[in-house]
Amino acid sequence: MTGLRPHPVPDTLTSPYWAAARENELVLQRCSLCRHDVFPPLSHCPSCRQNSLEWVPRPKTGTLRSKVRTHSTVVAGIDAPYWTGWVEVDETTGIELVGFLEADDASIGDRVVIEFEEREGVWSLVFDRVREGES
Amino acid sequence: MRAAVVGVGGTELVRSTDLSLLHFGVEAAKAALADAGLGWDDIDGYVGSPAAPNHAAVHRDGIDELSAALMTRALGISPSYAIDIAGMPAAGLATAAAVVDAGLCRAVLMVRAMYNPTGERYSFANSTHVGGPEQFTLPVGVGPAGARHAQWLARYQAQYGANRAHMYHVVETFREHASLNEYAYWRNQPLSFDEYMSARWICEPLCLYDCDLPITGAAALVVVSAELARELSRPAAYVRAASGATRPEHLFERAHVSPSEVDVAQIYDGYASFVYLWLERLKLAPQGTAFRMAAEGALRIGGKLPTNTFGGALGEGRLHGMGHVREAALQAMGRAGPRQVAGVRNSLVVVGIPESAWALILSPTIT
Repeated sequence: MTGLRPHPVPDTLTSPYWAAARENELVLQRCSLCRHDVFPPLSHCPSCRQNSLEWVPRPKTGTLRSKVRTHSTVVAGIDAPYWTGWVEVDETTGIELVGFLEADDASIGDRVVIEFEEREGVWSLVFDRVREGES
Repeated sequence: MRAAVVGVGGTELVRSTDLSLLHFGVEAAKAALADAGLGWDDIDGYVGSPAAPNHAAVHRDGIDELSAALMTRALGISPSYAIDIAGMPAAGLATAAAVVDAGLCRAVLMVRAMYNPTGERYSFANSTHVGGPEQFTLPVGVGPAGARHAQWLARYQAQYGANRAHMYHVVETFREHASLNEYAYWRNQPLSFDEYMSARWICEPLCLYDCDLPITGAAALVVVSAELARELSRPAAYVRAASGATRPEHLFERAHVSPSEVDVAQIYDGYASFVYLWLERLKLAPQGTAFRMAAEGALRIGGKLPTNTFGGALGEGRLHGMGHVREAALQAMGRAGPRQVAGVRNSLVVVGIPESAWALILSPTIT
């Protein structure tokens, strides 16, 4: 292991996200006025500029939009090789999250489930294949 | 804009050195000033873009960065305008040209120096706690560099059917061009198909040769007013138009030039995937076709759109786009020597990542 992996430092903008992550819940900001979705977090809606963003629970499903495999260790504490996925969250205006891609044989366009897992003290997004009975 | 590049200079680009970064910055500045035929008293402006962009950077003035304060002291000049910008060198040239065009300065010196630290990994992120937007990427192993550009390429490949063999043509073309550039790290080292296809992955689908090579070195430009350029009566590269930040593609309407009128292009290639991205976003190639265009040889000197005629960052070394700006000026001035494209009227340069890039068109005459 090459050192300690980086820990996110929640701030006034991001702490609701991490509080939900610890419960394995996904929350993302949405504008209560114009319904615009926002991630990473902002203070105001960039579409209507109002102080109208609220945290809304989201479905933990989505579509794999891209994937890469990191072959040499670039982040301390996260040993290569590993797969990373970019997943568009269902029922959002195109919000994409980045996380570990557990289903490394998944293809771009495949359906995936979104989970938070604690990995060495860090609540981490993990994408996996849709299991039987899920959307 | 009533501004023109009249001098360019640079140092050798090396992997490691016992010399200070300041040494490289000063030598590049001296070379550019001599090339412009100006003296130190003529310089009344300075624009730097000093930030060390690598994650392992220590951000120490004179060590891995050169501030405007340090450079003006080191050069013994007292310009009335000196600024460090956060952007890359095309943003620097746009800024220098704007300052000259506004009448604040007659002659602006611009320097970009890059430092390759020895003994530590260039892009290694060694932070135990992260805030800001990185709190959503670094803890899941998405580092400062490769992954977010590799993911763009993976998407592009899936959408349009491009593959690794296609990208060989981009990288190989730039290697070929590098042999015509005395500064290029990779000069006279052609890249074979087998060597490319068997290169180790950095962040799949980006391999070793798709990533520019970290070097220590510097390059500099002198940007002067149109009046001074005329007085100097030497080749000049007039800044016809500049557009950047979120809308580099507005360049063409500002320049009153269409993409098909571009004679030669310098396209930032810190990662090879940027070549497809910018060719298509600037409408130099129809959407989803840049990989074919490159594979058909269009980017070669003598091709339909000679691109990165100096070798690009992939062939020259990682000057963060300053090599591109220098070459765009040389091509517009007709001074690119063995790599000169004949009859250049519109010399395009674009430098940056998708979210923040600047593009300029340079021309041999004022328009």
